[in-house]
Amino acid sequence: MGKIIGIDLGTTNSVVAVMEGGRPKVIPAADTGRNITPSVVEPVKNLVGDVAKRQMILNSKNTIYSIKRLMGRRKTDDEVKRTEKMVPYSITSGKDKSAQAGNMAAVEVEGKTYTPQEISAMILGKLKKDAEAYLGEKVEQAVITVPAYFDDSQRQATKQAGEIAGLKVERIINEPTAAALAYGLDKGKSEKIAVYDLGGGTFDISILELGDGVFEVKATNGDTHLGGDDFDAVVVDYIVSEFKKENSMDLTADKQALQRVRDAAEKAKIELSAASEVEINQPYITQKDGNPLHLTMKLTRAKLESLVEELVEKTFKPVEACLKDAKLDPHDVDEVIMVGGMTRMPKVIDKVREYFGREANKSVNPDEVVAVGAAIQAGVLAGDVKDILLLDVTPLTLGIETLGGVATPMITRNTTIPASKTETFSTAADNQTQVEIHVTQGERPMSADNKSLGRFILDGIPPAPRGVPQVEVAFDIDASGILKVTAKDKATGKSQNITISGAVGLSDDEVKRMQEEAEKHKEEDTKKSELITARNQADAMVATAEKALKDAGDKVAKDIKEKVEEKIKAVKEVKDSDKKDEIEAKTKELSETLSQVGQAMYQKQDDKKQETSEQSGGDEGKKKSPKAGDKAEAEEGEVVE
Amino acid sequence: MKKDKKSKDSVSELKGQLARALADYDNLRKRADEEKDALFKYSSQRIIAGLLPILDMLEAAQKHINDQGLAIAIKEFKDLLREEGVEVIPAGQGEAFDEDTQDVIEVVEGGEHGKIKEAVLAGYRFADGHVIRHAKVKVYGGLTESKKGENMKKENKD
Repeated sequence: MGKIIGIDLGTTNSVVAVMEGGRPKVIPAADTGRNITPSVVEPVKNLVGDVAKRQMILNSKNTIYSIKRLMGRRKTDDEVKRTEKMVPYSITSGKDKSAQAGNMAAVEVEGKTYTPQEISAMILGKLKKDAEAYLGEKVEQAVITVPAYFDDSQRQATKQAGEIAGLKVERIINEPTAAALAYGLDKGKSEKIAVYDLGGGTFDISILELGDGVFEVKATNGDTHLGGDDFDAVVVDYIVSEFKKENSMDLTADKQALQRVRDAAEKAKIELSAASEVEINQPYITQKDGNPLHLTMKLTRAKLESLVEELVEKTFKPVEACLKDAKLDPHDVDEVIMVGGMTRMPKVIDKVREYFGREANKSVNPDEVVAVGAAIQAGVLAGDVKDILLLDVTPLTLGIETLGGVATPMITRNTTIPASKTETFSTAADNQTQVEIHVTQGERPMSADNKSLGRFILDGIPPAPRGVPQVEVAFDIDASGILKVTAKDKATGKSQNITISGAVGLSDDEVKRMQEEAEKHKEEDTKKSELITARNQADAMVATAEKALKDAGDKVAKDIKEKVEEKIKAVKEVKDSDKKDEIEAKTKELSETLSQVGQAMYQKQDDKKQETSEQSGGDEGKKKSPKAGDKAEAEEGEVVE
Repeated sequence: MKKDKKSKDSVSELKGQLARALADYDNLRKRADEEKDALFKYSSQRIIAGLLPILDMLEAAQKHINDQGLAIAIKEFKDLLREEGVEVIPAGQGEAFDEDTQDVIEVVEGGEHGKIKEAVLAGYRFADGHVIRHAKVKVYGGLTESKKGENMKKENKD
């Protein structure tokens, strides 16, 4: 069985997506590489998408856009009449005059009549071809989305369009429902969801109610002639009027200049979603009395927001009406979802938050969210999305506690399971015969701040200098989230393990709380862990120095020895304090002084020198140690194999 | 017996899902390779597309002040583009409009429908035809409505 694709057949733009490896993937157009295809068709030459759009002005009578406004509507329908006034192509009534289809709206191009189904089929056909090129296999089935307000006749027409394009339409779903699916809201408890969809040319608001995994559209409303294009127009008007004020020149008279202003306005609008101010620079935009004029101005986000405020406000009338129909107050809504490119504008986000009193879902690309939802629905129908194949991830980092109470990550957050990871650790003190493995879960750098999942002791490690024993710690999570932690002493082969169930299955609230806490404490945690690192390094340096002195014996001059001892004392005095900088400074001093020992040894005895330097540098810095004795330990470092 | 059938069914279902997952993975791997090739090939596209408006401005300035030094700078700029395998999209006066590489921004009365009047913004593409920026052109709209269609059809055959 082939893949089923999900299609968002939009008024202005269309998007196609598919489930791939259990995840929705938006398919880029083969000709442009872009994820969205303009819903523009030139039926005579069969041009679809960007290529049709580029020749639109030249062949305005032959180029059909906004065909969705005619889908399944009678020629006498108000929306059809309104569209007729707006578009340059001619709208006629259906081909089959005798049948009921004779009353339906259609378009006429060079004397030939095309039904909206046929025009839409060309768009669907292109998306199908793009999907086939991407997947490398035939595609014959699709899920297509329609606005929630589409009636039966409009849905039927959409289905027919799919069939003309050679696609079996497995299901027609509502656009707001698809958006909710894209956010996985079908898995939640019963909820009331508002979908705020501000696209290129239309605004839709829908209230959904979820019960038993089924979405019901409670109410829908909107403005069929309000969208991003209106926002662009406001910005263009502003730039033109500012230029006129300054130069007494009307840029609208010069089509070439106006085109440049339009491009610049759209670019500025998009950039102002991220920046608070943009510069618009279009040198040599026009001429006056033989002298060139340049368009240079600054546009701030505040200015843009004041320009479009009225348009944003305009969306809330339908929102109010919609809530009233659904018999709800704004605060009764549990989730708000943002759809459409215009919902990237911070002003829109703020207003929606203000109105509903909650943060909207906007993590999925608002241009693609409907197609993504359609693909998910398609995946469910194809059997791609089933519980057993739904790959889970670890919601929080799993790790073990190492020296100084540091939580050392083993399996990081968001790792897809099943997964396993092995690392080798060592001991922290000389002759240490046991290590404690403390398994923790959470994002905080200190173990004490994370959730303890369990602990066990591996003993029977043969006595050896610190850092020499190799303890292999293996984490393994199976598909159902059961974590098995094994520690094994490589020398003796002795091992211990613990099995923890439910390492993945935390409640959502718990995960959220832990993530928020990690975020909240980020700064202090970083400081704390830097302090611990400094202390650990100080400890390690003291141990190294003491050992070096012991090994060197009387081969080192007394004055050097005393100097080192003095520095050791200095480090010991500060190392348990909270003064990170001081600990680091003293450690550095000790390290520098200690190198004199090495130098002295060089001079004294050739064959002994290597051993000393190895001991002073070789066995530290390379190994981590599970929480062990409270003595000296190596600094953070790489795994030893 | 029933149980037997049930477990058989679930085994075959699982097998199917496993095969699908493996196929998905394999296809993904192939595509990742292809995408890597394309990324390598067109990695310069983004930066070139960002530099082109600056070249436009320099050329506009040159048209106005006609400075010899600036002429050299513009030539160096264009040489660099050529070395990167970038070429100018032909859009000369009188040529037929090509929607694959050009973008109509204005239709001018008169002339022969569908023929270019002038290019207002140069277009650029890689030597293999991959368009970096479409040329923006003014195109003749022709004289009468009825002639429009005929001329356009003729062009298509060209």
